[in-house]
Amino acid sequence: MIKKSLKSSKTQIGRGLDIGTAFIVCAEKKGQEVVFRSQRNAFFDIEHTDFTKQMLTKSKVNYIIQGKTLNVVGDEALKFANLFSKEARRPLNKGVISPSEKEALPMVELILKTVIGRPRYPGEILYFSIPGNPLDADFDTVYHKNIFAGFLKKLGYKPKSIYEGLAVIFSELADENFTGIGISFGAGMVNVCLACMSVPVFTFSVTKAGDWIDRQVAKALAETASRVCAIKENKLDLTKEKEVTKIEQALSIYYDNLLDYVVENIIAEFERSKKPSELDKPITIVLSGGSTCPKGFLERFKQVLRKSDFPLAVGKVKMAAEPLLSVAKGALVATLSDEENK
Amino acid sequence: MSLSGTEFNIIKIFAESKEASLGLIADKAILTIGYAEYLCKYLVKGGYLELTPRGTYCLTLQGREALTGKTRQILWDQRTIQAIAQELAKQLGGTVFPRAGRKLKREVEPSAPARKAIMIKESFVDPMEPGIILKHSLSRKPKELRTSSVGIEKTLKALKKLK
Repeated sequence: MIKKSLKSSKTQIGRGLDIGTAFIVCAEKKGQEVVFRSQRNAFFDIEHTDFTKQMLTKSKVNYIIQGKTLNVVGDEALKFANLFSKEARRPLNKGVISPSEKEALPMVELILKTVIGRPRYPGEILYFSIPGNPLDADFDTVYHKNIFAGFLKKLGYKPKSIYEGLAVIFSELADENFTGIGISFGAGMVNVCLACMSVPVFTFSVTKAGDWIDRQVAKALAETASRVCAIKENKLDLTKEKEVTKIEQALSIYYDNLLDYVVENIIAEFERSKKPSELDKPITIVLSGGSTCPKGFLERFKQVLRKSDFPLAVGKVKMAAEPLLSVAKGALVATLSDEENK
Repeated sequence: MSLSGTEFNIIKIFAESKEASLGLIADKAILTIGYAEYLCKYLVKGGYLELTPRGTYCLTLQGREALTGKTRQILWDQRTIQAIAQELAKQLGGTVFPRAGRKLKREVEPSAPARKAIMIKESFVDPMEPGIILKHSLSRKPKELRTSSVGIEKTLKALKKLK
């Protein structure tokens, strides 16, 4: 009944979900608006006492109680980690469910529930992002995909998956007929997809990404990765040449290393795959994800690309309109398109 | 039970000291106390660590082997091996250690063991314990960012045209 009335209304509705290592983002179309909701996918455990609970409640800090521990969730987890000079815990590592954080699964489910909410009717289609199979790690994404599909089914959705790189193309390359390369520089992984008229030619991921940069810098300078991450997210400027701090200098070095690595892998993957004839025209490359946020990232990428022996003619390299939201937006496009074809 | 990187890092702490408190483990492995406690309990359950009466942790034999990379050796003498072999022979109805020159007589005809059909469960199996209800303060929805849907509608039209 509800489904019928919703389907008959002219305005389309639907949700798309980006399950990232750092953030869970939901995009929801409500009438003439798209509403984005996000929550940092991290937590920090502290001792559960009445005092700490009261203190957190008063400060409006989100927490989840699990046995004797009180887990601070969201952005505050990172703040607490920096306060105690410890690392915040992540339920996801390198883009997939962390094998050492299985106890965090109920918490991820809860975070997911608060971000996406209940479906409007049982069996509502929802596309969620999954990483491409990693080129440089010995694991696949089957377990990860099924666990999240299970969570979403439990909530009443009909979950369908979309590769993160393809979601970026759906979100940003409509003017280019959905032809080009979409790259999502996330925290746990960099996801790449080359698509020709919305059909993926190849899609893959590499496990060097934002977290890898944080860890390498932290190791080199005896800092915690959480602190490096906070500096990277809040004040890193890759164009800065004077008065560069040690952390900024190290971040800049590892950003260069990461970009080289990603471009090399795209070249290698392209050589392995068959080139469609439609790709004779110069293509567009679109960059998205949280790790693209530092000022000067786009110029750095272009420099690395110019230096490389890239096998395709590149017309334009651009940033996604909203780098942190484009995967969720692409997943929403997939949901709405699927609903239309029903 | 195989050890993860973090678990092995905890084991490595005991290369420097015989015993370690939870605080020291958390400090050296750069973990929160809660997480260090969780991992230590897991390692105790797996037989790698044990809790001392002083409330500290120390390595078990299995933990030391994991640290040094040695496996446990079972040193049995020849007589014990022979006794076990004879007992096995009795139960299986065969002959063990035939005298030189005599061919081993096969007394039991090998038969193909009945194979169990492999059932593949296609439905999703929830790996979590059922009925875990967590108390939380996440009643508020996260902050929202609203944008116009014009861009999405344009994208959908382009996608439809393509199809």
